[in-house]
Amino acid sequence: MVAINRVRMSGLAGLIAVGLVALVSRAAIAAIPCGELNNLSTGGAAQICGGICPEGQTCKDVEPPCAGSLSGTDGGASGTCSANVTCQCVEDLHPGIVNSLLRHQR
Amino acid sequence: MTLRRALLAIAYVLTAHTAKAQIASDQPAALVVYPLVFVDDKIPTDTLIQLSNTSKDPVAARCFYVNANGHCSNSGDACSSGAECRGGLCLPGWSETDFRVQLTARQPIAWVASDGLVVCTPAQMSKYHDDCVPLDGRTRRGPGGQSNVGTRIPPVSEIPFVGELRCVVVDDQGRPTDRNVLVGSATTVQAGRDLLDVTRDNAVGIPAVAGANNGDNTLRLGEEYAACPNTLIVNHLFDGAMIEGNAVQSVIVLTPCAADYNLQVPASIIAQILVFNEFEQRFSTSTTVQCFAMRALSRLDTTQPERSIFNVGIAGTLSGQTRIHGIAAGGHGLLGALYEAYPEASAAVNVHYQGISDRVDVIQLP
Repeated sequence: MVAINRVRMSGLAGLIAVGLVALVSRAAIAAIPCGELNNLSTGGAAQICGGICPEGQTCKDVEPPCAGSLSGTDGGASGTCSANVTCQCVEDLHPGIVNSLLRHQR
Repeated sequence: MTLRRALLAIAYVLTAHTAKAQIASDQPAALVVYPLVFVDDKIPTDTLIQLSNTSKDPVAARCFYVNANGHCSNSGDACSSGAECRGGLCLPGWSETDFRVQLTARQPIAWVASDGLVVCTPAQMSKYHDDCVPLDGRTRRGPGGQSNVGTRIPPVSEIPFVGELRCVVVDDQGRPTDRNVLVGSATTVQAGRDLLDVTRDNAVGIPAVAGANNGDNTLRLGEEYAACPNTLIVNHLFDGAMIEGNAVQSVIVLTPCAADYNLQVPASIIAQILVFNEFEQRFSTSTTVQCFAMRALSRLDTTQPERSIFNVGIAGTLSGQTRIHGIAAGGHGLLGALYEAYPEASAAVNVHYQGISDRVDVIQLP
């Protein structure tokens, strides 16, 4: 009877431990600032943008425009400009005049 | 019988005179107010301003942009709130820029707010340049040698730009006169990746009272010009009302009739607001309008739009009517316009007016 209780207790402790680990890891992920993350669904090979941003912004990959008259981008077929894609918090822009006015309320 | 006809004739003349001295957005006037000029670069948005002379004679006008952008105390960037300033304060500001326009008989002039109009060289005039003054007086003239010489319209002072524009008819010496000949409109255009959104509203015309203008730089609305309206009336959908599956959102622009462009002191007015839903149930609130206000309807009374009396969930019906009355120590007239979104196609709405203000509102020119 004592052995069964011990098994139950250790099982309960294990569940609590698993729950705590899950909570801590979730909190840790939520605290990550916007940046490149490994995409776990592809075995960690691909990079995706993720992390927290201020309200009204989303973490997205941003490709800076090519300087001057150069054209093309990194990975392009005939690109002459190699742009570095970075992850940044980008303001959520909903199209429409009224939505633009809402972003500039006075 | 003759006496009755004479009395009727007098009454008709008096009534006609009173009707001419009413603020309206569809009648020529000596002073026109564009409540909103908006330029943005995040999703390219610009305002096409049209100003027309309805008279058979040329006319000159002095115009005044008011830039209502706030600016960050640390970076100087345009801002709406302190959250955009990353540790700095968003300081409100209202700065004025003035310019002159010369209009030929019965002709319009138009410009894009971010470009303005400049005097071009003959080579530029020979090509298509939409920011050139149309009739430069050298290569191009109108009938009788008329031209737009003297017109120099600067682009708005910064982008993004949120503000208003006023133009007043002046004589050859630049003194305000009582010629009610100007009409105008503002067309705001946004060209997004998958969307072309356009709104258009008429400039509000404030007619001069014949013979009452003394030609000085102090424009007295209610004596030299028509009095400001006592109440603004806006029929609108409440924020969050679902129309064909989309939530409606509205933005209202309010600006005091009074302005001091000489000392650049912003006029401050308390707007008392009554809101009636479709059951004529009444809600009320008030807000302060300092020089220029542009806010979502449901942020006029609270910072939590879902708790606003302009929210469909609070109002209880899809649409309603809002009546706005300004009060202040000096003049207390307000002008305004409304912009509605459904949700990605927008519409501008001119407001209605009721009554006239019993105080004089003063526009002081520099």
